[in-house]
Amino acid sequence: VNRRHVHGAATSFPALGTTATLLTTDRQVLTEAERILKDELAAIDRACSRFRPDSELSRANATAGTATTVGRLFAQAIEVALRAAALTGGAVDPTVGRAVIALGYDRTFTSLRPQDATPLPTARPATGWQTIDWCPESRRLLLPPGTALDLGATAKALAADRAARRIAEATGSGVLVNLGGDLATAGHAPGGWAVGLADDHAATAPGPVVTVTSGAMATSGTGVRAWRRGGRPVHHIVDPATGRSTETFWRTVTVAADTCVDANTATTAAIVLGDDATAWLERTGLPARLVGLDGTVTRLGGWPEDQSGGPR
Amino acid sequence: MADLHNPPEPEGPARREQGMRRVSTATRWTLAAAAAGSAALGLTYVNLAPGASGAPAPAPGTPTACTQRPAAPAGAVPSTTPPRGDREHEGDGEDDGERAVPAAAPAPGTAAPQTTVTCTPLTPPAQAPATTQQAPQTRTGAS
Repeated sequence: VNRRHVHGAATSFPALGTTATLLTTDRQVLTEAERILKDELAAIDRACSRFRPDSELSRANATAGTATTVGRLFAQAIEVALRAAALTGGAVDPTVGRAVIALGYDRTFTSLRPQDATPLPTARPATGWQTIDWCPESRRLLLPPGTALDLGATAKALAADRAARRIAEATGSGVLVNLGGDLATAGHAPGGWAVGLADDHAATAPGPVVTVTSGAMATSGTGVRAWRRGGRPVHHIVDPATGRSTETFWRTVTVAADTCVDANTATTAAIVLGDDATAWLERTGLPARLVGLDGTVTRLGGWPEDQSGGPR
Repeated sequence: MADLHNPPEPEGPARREQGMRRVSTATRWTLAAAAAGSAALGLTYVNLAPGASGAPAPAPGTPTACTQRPAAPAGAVPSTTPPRGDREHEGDGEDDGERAVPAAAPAPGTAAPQTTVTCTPLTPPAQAPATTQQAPQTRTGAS
């Protein structure tokens, strides 16, 4: 049991439709670290937001069927998304954009109608990530006509990784960047960071706490970003094979990995894979904690037993 | 004088016997070569066929390095807008202001650019999470 943890500085602010939290081991660098984080968040929003008509993602979706050359950050986001698709056998597929929009998630979640009476349209499977024509050297992207990308499963995690790395390099401080539960660390943090585990990242109720000394952690679940459409419950994680919200098998899946992108790729894949997730996660070797609908906890890859932390 | 280097050919039944042995040997070699050639061609075909491999296919999601070559989408319309040079994206170290711009259409009769995604396996952290009795400094959860 780790009884020491980092004492440093912390700040939180709204970002990317969720909450960004920044922790540094060195109190003196918090202002500079926050500047870098906000710069990174602004860049990822300009590149990957589905809700900004001027983002590179929106432009690429609007011109599907026409080849485009994209910027470096968006190119990295595409690479990350395609790698996630390849490593998960297509369980995490960036071409679910149309399906997500069809479910009614066509605007920021805060402006979404929680009770949308409009009937659900006929679900269609995702176009499939293999249909994307992508050349990493020239950054030339060609989406099939009618295809829309959604990088929600990986772009936020990519931002956390990039920001944590940049802050540590620029300040020399140990750092933890938490973007709505997707957290990445960099630099040295004596004793590690104490991270609470919850179904909802905004929860304040006591729960299990673990120490993260390196790498990253992410959590996916179906209890948040959920709404009703045509009288049926839907949520934001779409099964690319059906184009519908995934069947709910796990309430929450948390994974630790070397990077936040890897962690979030694994958590999203686990939600999509359902009952098959445990076998798949075991093959990856990633430490994982899966909470079933009845609250039963499954631990894999050396994930420790639950132990509640003290008061915040 | 007898030719020591070219002994006289056997005659009659002996000569016929020797010819039969030669034909039999040639037939066996031909059959063996045909069988080996067929096996080699078969293996080559198995390895070149799309989606097939001589080795057992990994299970979906198996964390192995992979290279994917997605097929070009059907019905894609090439852009006619002039290309934007890569140089515009180099050197500044910033992504600010970069936007998707139309790229060059492939010249008529040329193949579309080969699409390649090279991926490294999902990697565990250097150290797995450990239990602690400390109060949380931050939380992970769905968002």
